[in-house]
Amino acid sequence: MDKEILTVENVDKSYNGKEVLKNINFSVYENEFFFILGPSGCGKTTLLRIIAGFVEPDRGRIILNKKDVTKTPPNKRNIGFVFQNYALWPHMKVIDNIAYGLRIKKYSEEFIKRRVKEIIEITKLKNVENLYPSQISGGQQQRVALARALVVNPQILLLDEPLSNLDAKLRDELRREIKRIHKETGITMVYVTHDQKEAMTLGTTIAVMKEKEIVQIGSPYEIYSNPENLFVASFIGDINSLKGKIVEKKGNILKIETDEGFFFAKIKKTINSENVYLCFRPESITVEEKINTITGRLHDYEFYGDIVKINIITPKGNTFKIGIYADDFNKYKKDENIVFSVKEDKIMVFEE
Amino acid sequence: MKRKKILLTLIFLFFLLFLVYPVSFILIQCFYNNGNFTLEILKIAITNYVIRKSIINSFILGIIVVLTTSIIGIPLAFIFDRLNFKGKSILRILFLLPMIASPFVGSIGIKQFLSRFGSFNILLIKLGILKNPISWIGSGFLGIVILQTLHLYPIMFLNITASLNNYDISVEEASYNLGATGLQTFFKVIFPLILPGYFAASSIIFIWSITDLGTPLVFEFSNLVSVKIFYTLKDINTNPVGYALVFIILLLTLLLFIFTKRYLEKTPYTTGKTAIYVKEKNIVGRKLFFLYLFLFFILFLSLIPHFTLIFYSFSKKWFFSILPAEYTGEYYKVVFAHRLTKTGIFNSLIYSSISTTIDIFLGFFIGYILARWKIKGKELLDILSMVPLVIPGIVMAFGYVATFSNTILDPKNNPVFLIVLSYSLRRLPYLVRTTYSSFLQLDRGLEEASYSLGGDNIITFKKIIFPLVSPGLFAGGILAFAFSLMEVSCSLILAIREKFYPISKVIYTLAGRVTDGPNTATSLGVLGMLITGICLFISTKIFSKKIGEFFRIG
Repeated sequence: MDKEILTVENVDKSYNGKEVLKNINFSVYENEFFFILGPSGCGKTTLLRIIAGFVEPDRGRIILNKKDVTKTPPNKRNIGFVFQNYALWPHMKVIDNIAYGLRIKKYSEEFIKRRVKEIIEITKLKNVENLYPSQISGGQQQRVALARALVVNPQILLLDEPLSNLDAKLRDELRREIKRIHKETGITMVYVTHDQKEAMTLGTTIAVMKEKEIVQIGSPYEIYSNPENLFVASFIGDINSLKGKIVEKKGNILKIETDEGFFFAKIKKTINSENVYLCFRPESITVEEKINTITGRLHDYEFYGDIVKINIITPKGNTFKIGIYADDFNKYKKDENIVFSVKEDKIMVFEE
Repeated sequence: MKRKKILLTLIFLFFLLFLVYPVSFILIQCFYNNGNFTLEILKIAITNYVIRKSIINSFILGIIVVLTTSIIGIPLAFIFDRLNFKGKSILRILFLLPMIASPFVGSIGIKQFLSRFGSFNILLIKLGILKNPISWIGSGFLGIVILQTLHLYPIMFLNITASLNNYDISVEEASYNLGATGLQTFFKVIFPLILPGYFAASSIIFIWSITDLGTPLVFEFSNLVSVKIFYTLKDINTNPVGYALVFIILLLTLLLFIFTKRYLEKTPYTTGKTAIYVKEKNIVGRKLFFLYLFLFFILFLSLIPHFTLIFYSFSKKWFFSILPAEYTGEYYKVVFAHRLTKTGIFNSLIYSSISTTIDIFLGFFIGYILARWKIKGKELLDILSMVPLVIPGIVMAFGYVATFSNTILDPKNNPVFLIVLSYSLRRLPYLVRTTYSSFLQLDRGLEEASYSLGGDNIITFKKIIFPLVSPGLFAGGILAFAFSLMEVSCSLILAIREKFYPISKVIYTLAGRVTDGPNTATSLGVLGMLITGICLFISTKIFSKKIGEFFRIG
């Protein structure tokens, strides 16, 4: 798990004077399922295309298996690429689409046959091999795109929003498929998406991007529980936030004054500014503690089966979302007041 | 990069020598006399009564033909857009049939049909409507109008249909919803929306009509600019009026083209499209009967030239009767035996094959450069490759004769090079557009997928790019071939010696011979029609089916 497969070093890219990537640095290790997550327009697809070699960076290096490939053309990199719209060749049958890379590398027909059969089994494409791409479903097209990229055993597989063209049900199904294929083949994957659910459920590491920069890299758990800033916190999962001012510091305990009274937060990093955002996740609350309390009216709720997320409006007009187990939900009634408190060590504080 | 620059320079040189130079040569000859700028030649052309008359006649002809094609084409477009009836798709194709015979060939047939003792008069006399036969063609002007109308209305039909498809039916429904009547909706909503398309079609038809050379020649109506230009070519060294006439046509074409383009850019009338739902009204029962009656009547009218042509080519005796009295296949034998017809067929096949090959290669590379290269001078290339669209055949041929007389390329000695070049230049814009748009439609990912799997430039080109672009290219090539085969203006002007005659000039020459000439000419015309028809059929098959299937995924 520690062998570095891919390193992106100090990469910058501008188009017509507009900067789209700024000082990008990260490494991807063997067997990793690495996610680049960010809103649309943050440069993540450009980054992926730079890794694949379709776009040349203005500055910086791409290192693949300890070899600098920055100037290597895409056809010499042995990097698999799954396109957002699949980019299947409409004039070739499914089987020819898949065999293409092997034929280019001039393997024997016998080997190609065996290898294609193998990959067709892995990607569950039996019975459609002899059809044209236009004759198969969107989900199947996606599988062909995967198979075509996987068949040549690339050093690394890049996926550019591969599920964004599918409907919700197929997306769930294929998400599981990709996870299974990752497990079965052990191939290192770099996956670009704007869908945080995809990144959280599949990824071993996530790099969160915001406007041309990577703002945080970490495991899904780290990113969720310990976001670097308000952007990451709000981009991944639900978050409650409240403007506040630090009035007292005692070791790693801060006393923060807000609309809703004083809050105490146990922090892990130093905060330099006085004006801050105080944030917490819906599930970071308890009804037992006596500090950090908020009182508000139950406005409405979203029912998720196992848990219920309740929206609360305080007399000051602030709204909060809190999560409770469904079993506890019948204690509460609409428009009734609820008192809850936020766990001291679960409060996140970000500089304004 | 260096290779790219060399290739681009070569293409520019080609355009410069065979497109820019001949056109500027005409301008110089028109405005410079012994090195001094002069308007004298233009003045002579305009003040001379006969020439002025021919300019006015051409203008009137163009306007009349725009009107008559509107009267046929617009209702047809609405019928096919708004009504649904049995046999609609077949009828739609049948209405495009008139395009397969050039009016020049059709006019030989219609001359027989409308002549003093032709089928039409005999029919009217037999029906008791006429007592004595009338000369319908008279000076020939009416004949030209009829032929051009029947040949050109499909252009109007297609353009209006496209305009009607450009907007969503909901904009009309919105008008009705707000209380407008059908008539109000037509004038306030529909008419403004189809106006740009109508304008574009009218310009094309107008220019086509005034630059048509073959039809007036067959009807022997010489008071038109195109015919005047044709005749001035014979003494081009002593009579410079031809330059002025060509300049006038060129100016008119250019103005109309620029005006249309500006106008179309100013009116980007497209609306969003809602999901597919039916806007056609089903027509059945008695209404269907009347609709058929109407459609078949128009169809019959527009196919009269073709039918008479076919009958003519098989007729042994055709006097004082509606249909020929006796039939024979002899003239078709003659077509393949006669020295002149054999030469014509052979020449046309050679000229068209070479010019089409040039078109395919040049069209492909220019289309590719425009779509894929980042290189200086691309915009100029784009303009140059579109210029032949605004240069009528008659102008191009005139320019070639004028420019290359007494040079190694003099068409009086051997016109093959210039004929082939004029054929290919005139069709080049279509092929450039076809490949260019194929490349634009071609998702970059399809190429990149190949690169990412190890394909280099050559393999990717061979296995991905070419197979995906080639159907369009070949369909366009087949069309270019068919049009070159039956091309009229350049063929009539550039082929001066008999041994270099292409089909059109052979037909023209034969049609003028009194005895068996016209019969053989019509047989050759029918063959040409057949080939054009087959080519059109094949290319629409490729265009609609394969490309449609190819680009439906993703």
